[in-house]
Amino acid sequence: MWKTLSKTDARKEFLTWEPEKAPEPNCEDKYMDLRKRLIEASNLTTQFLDKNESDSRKSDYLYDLKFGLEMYNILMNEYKFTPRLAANDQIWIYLSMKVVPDLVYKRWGLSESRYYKQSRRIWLKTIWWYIHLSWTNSIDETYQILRGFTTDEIVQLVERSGPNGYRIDVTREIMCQFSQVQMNKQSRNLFRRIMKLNTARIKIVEPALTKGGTKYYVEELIKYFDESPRNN
Amino acid sequence: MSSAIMFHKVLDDQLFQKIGYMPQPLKGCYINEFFEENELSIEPLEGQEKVYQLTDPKVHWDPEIHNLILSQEIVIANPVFLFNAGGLATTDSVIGVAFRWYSKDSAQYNVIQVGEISYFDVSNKVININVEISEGNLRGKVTFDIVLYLAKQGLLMKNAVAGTVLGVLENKQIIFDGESSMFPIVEINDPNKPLWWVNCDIDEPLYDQFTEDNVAIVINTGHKNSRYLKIEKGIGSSPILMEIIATGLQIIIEKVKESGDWQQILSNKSEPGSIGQAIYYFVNTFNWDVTSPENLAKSIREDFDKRF
Repeated sequence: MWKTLSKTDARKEFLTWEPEKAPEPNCEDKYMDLRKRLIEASNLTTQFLDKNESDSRKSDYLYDLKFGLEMYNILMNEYKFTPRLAANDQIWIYLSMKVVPDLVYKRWGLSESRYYKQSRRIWLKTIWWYIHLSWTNSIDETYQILRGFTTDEIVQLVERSGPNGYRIDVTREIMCQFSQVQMNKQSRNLFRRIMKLNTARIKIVEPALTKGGTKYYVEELIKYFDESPRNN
Repeated sequence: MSSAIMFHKVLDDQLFQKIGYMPQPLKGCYINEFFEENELSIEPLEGQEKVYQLTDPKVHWDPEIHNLILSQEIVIANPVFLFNAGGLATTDSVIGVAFRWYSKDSAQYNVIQVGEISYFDVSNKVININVEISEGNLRGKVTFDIVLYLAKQGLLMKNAVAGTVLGVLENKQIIFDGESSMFPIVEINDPNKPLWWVNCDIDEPLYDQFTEDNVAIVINTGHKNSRYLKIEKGIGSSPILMEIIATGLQIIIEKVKESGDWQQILSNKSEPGSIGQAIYYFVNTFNWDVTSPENLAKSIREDFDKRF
């Protein structure tokens, strides 16, 4: 059974933390193994980026991506974590405040919203969903697909969930197809426009029920901007 | 695809009446650890339109570890009215029927095609819906709806493309965990311990979740009398199990009453999924009378006798 921490309790605990000092873990013993695994994942991520991406200008994003993939893999395969659990903010608040607060601190300092305050900004939750919504077959393949994106795409993808939840088949197809487009176009705004167009279209059509299904639907979304120079 | 889809006709009340939509009740079941199929109860919540509570008479179903199989038969008496003038699509088109489930609480949106209707279909078109949702997905409040959509765009159909939603036949919200659909029951096997007891590890009932971590009715399957409980038959078929659960819940409520948060609990100030919210729900939905221990004992049993 996963421990939870409410926003109210998180706030109380957050107020006890010393300014400019990394908060210390304060979790039940049964979480120490998970903590160890996540710390290892963070260290592995840093080593991997030093070795393979040392000249990249977007080290924060690549850290989010690589650590996110490692965390996703650990939680899903070693801890039987499910989307149902991932939809529960209070589980993420417990992990952020009690299990690995030092990792959240390393990335965001003492920004309240990244620990507990704003549902869509809780860092561990956001990067888990970013990976889940983009997952393609394996860690390596997903890394390659997402490597060319930025933190802006994390925000666009995760925060545009709409009031009714994520269409996971659609988001995965968008990320897969757009990763190929993006290499050629280098257009930062195009992704945002595609997500906006998608939001407008799903009010009228169900992507999975269109002719050619989700794959063709996403092809059409991307092609729309190819064929409409005035919108580009 | 971009602009034409804006001008299609959608199902309105008048057309809905003409087509004669006749749904059978939605049924739910799940497969347990022994690969046995177990029925679930889907009952409307009093005072809330189109909101249903899903419960397991055996108090065993857990959306984290069990799937959910939903089935429903629907009949459209006069499908011909869906086509041509006054209808939703041209006679050379095909209209699809889809089942959608979506939920902000579960952060998911899914759609599944369940049937098709053509102009040449006879009257009383029957569609059987069978949908399986795997474990680890459902949480909180989930909307289930049945929609009509354009499955195949005929040559004469100009205003909509395949995939366009043409109208909603019915929708309902079902409440899963977090709203007290389950009693926190834990089974253990220890011949040296009593048949049952209650664990209460409550610090703040307004926040502590209504889960085994904080409150649990522990049933000992290793006890010499446990065979009389007939746990596998469920609460409705086991008067002793019903008594244990009724008494266990009473103990939990009496314990919470001792806390300083009781008035806030009765004012629905508890966090979602908390012990306080569960108690508020029992009191307001099932009329449990918490004014005295004897009233509470009686009203829980009156409620259980009606429901199980």
